[in-house]
Amino acid sequence: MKDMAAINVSNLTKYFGQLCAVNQISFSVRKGEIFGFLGPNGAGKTTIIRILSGLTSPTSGSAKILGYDVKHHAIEARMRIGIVPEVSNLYEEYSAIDNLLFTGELYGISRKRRIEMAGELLHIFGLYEKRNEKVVKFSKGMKRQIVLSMALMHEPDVLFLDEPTSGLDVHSSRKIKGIITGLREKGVTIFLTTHLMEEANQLCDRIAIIDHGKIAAIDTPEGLKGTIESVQSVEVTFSEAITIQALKDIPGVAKITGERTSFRLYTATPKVVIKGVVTFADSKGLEIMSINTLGPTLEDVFVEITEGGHR
Amino acid sequence: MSVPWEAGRAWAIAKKDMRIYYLKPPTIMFGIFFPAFLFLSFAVGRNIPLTELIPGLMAITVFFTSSSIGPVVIPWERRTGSFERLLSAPVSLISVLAGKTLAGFFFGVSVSLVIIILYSGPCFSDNGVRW
Repeated sequence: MKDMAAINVSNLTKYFGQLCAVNQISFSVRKGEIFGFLGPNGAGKTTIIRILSGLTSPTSGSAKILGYDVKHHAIEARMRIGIVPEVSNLYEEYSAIDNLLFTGELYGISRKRRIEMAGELLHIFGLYEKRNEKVVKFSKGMKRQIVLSMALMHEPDVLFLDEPTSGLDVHSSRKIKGIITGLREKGVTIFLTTHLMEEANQLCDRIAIIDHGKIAAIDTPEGLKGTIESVQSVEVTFSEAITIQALKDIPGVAKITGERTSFRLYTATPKVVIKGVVTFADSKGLEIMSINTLGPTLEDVFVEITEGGHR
Repeated sequence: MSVPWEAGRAWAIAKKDMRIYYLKPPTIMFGIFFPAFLFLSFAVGRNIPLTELIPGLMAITVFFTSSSIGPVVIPWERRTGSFERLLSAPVSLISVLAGKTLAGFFFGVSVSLVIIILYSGPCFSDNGVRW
């Protein structure tokens, strides 16, 4: 049972009737990393989380969490995971602390320990003062924080977050992101889905882009951006106006936009272009007022990879 | 997993259901008002001794009260998504259902006990008491 991967998925397939929601997916998540799943609505992100948390059984293929098969060793696997689903599914009739205490009891934590842990978590989220208020009165952001703390009650090794910050205000989502980063430092493996590029870029060590039930790309945020090099560009501003034609001779340039003094040169090799621009400016006696390289954003990558999708 | 573990988790679920759902309108409706009015419709205007009515009331109560928890709670929790919380917890489905059933069982037992206590005086001291 010595398996170094926190999550190991191989050839996972799930059919809903005729619809193939997940198609022969394989990937593994290392211990202690933040792994992001990025994809359009209906790409199969939630289905994969549901399979990994044992709520849906796969049509074929296998999924292991810390070496425990989610189907055959379901209880052992579930003991080690915490889940924050897309919808905040807490007990609205219960107070904040009762929600936490019940979750603790469900995971078999001793009475003393669960009271301690609930207090600690409520302090971390800054909701201790409101612990005895019914959560039905809580804001969306507060409910989300309670759901996250419920998922942390049994100190899971692997945490699943299904769109943890969607629809939240800046303060709540920052607080949640801060806590996610804090958890990584404690060695918790985090698997999150999102369609916010910026969030994936900030938080994730590695990102898988999923579309039509298949993994389209899997890499670090930087690696993914590098895969579509044509979107890299150099932005330059000269001291005097020149024609766009004059820049055509710079080596490595794929496309040029702009006019008069400022131009944007699209390229696969920004370094070569910068040198070219400098030589060009020197030869014409022009001064360079500013020069910037602009990498592709994760959004560019995402659109590029999932292009042609009809959702 | 072991039987004590599963039993402990089932008990946790039962306790939660008891605390949250016993006083919910649909539970009170089906669990208390429904058997009570069914009983009245049998009893009112007829000259049946209480000693004969009480067993009937007990049967109605045990059936409807006990079954008023599960059919209310499970769709309710499925709608709010909290049922998935139970399904993804380290317990078997059997224990989740056992917890729900236990909550219904205790509701049936406690409402029936109330009836017994309320009527035990007249029933057992004087068989001739009429409605």
